[in-house]
Amino acid sequence: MGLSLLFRMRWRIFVNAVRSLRGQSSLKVVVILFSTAALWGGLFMLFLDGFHFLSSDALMDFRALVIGVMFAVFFLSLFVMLVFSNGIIAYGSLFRSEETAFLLARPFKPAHIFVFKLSDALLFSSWAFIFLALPIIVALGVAEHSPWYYYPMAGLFFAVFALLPAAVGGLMTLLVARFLAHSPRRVLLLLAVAAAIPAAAWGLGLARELHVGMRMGEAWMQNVLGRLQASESPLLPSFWVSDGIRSLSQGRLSDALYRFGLLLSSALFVGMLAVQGARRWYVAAYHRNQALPRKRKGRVSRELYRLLESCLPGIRRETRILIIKDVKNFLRDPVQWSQVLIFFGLLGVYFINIRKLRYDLGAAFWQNLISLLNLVATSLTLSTFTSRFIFPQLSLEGRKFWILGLLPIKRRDILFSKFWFAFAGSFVLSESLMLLSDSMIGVARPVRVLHAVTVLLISGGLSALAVGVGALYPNLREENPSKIVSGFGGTLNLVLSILLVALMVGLLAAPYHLLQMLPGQNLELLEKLFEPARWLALVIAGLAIALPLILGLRAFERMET
Amino acid sequence: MIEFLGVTKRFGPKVAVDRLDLTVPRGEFFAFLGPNGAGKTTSIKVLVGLLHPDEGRARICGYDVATQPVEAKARVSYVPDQPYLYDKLSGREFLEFVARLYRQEQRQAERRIAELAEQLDFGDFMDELTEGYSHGMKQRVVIAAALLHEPEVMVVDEPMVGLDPRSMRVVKDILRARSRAGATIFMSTHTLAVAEELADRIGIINHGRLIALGSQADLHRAAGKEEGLEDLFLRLTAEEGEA
Repeated sequence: MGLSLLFRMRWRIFVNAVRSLRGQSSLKVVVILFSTAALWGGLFMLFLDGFHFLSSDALMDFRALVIGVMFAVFFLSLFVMLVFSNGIIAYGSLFRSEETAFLLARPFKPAHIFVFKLSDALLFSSWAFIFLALPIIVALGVAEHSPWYYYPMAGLFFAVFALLPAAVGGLMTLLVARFLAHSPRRVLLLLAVAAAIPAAAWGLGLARELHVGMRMGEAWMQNVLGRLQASESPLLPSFWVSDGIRSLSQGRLSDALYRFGLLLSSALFVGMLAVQGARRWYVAAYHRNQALPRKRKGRVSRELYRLLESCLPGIRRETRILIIKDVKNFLRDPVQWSQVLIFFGLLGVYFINIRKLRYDLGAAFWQNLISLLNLVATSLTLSTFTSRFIFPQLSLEGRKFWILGLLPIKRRDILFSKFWFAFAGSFVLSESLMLLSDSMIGVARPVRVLHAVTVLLISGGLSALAVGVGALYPNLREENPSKIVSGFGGTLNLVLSILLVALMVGLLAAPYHLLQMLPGQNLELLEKLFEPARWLALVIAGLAIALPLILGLRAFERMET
Repeated sequence: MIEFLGVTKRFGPKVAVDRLDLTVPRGEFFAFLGPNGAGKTTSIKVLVGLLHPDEGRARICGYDVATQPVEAKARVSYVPDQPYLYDKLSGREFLEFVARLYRQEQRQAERRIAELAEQLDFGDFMDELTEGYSHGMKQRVVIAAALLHEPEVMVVDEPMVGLDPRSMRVVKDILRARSRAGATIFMSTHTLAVAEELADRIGIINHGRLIALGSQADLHRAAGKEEGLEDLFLRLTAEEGEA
């Protein structure tokens, strides 16, 4: 009865939330629906095109192998990511939320609370995966002319597949919280890093293989696929789902049902282990986590913050004080800095190792292509950083907003402090990475300057977007940054950020690289377009910085709590 | 009734509650006083099962909170210092959820919710989502939720914070009536006048240890002079701090 009551209550909350959408502007709802449909449709077309490409005569011999390996790698990566994201979200949900304290003080069975809160983590971790994976599945079905039952059954495969990493992540969190160290969240993050390092090493090995394969022989193709075939071990749950969906798409129902049975029984088995574990250890783990020693301030001394403050010349004193407050918050929250460290750290490791791939000695074509791709990777990683950590900053002031509201300073100083904090952090991180990448690849000085300018403009634009849209669409009631980011404002900011990266790279850096990559071709038109494209990029960057800040400032000055 | 039997709770090296022995009999209105950080909320969290004692046991109506949590929790209600409500539920939906949790029949629950809405004066906004409530409005709904199943033991942490004078009067009357009807009330508060007005017995905790226990008359006798509760409290906690 306890569990069904909890889920009925959650359903009622969902219904009320949908009803409250009626009170919101219809423009907002239309923009959400349109952006969703555009993103979904774009992904569908992209994957459909990809599957049709694989059906071309030149690749016919490899088709089955390539699709098989591609699916296996995709689902294996997803599985690992979902285990850790479920685990980390479940930790906050099971041991730190106010709702859990409320429920534990009522006569619910602890295992029911565990299942209920784990289902929250499952939804938060997996909705994006389901949303993004659906176009792939539909595209494969269309490309393969699959039977009608392929579509509903593929959906079932997905649902059951999402359960398994949630159960593994939940069990892992429970064990870590009950038995390990004084900082379970840190242990979970360390485990995530430990899993990312071999993955990065494997990726580098593969990249080396791809580089050697510039000659594109059949033996090379076999070699690359052979490396990737490790993901096709029949013992891996990710393989059961990838092979099951492919079998379904080709109408091999009994093979698909066999894989589905393996997946379902494993999900149920691990789920049962997790529930049994919760019966035995959840309350003890909860108590242990409530009794962790209170945190003292970090070892970074007051002098170091003073030094940092003095390194911000030309910025008003009040703004500098607010920047230092945000820096302290960032450095004292392992969830924030560890994620930045993981993403930018992995890029850094890849850039440091880039010489082993011999691009620095290679043809101009490869130097240009790889350095351009590195610029794109760095900019996109930066856009996830600003969307995830900068966008929710104003919202997170929430209940503390009165402190900012009562400060004897102008609100524009508060907003600009957020902007400068974001811009300084973004620029230092991304510029360091680009300098590293360019020097490892050995690109010419003009390219380095071009990349530096591009990164400078992108950092400024992304920071202004995150701060401005954050001020336009604040959520002052929510304290969970993941929930703030997944709202309308967060989604809009992410879409605009990706668009900005595409425009800046496309207008500023890509034309130059294309000219360098394809010498001797008739590129007169491109050369003619290059100059205006640069000016257009500068105008767009100026607008991307000024507009969000102006609109955000207006909204922020009118903001009431 | 409530029993703390040698309860000790540590947070790392800090001892938040130190060998607390305390029994609150059935029907007693007990006020638990102490300065900030003295161990009041920690003791309450141990009592309602949100913290596990490092040593000793806490019992409610004879049920050990750690080993028989469902039985103990079915007999207690808890009003935390920070009221928790689901933002996207209305006050009425929240109360219905709590009523179902304590297995109340629908009609009985509806009648009780209507009674409490009238008593605590939240009928006007009961059908609005709680995300728009002020602190005082939330507090009234949370107190109503705690009273719904007419518990044998009520544990209330700072119940008057955020309430207007009329609501404070109503809450005091309700708590007093529950106590007279045989329920045990365990109230933590900084509002000494409320403790003076309502409590049968008072306990003062400081640095995790119970430093005074008894009726107001007992405390005055032990102190050796007639003085107000405020002076007594300040003197005892200051002496303890100096010692």
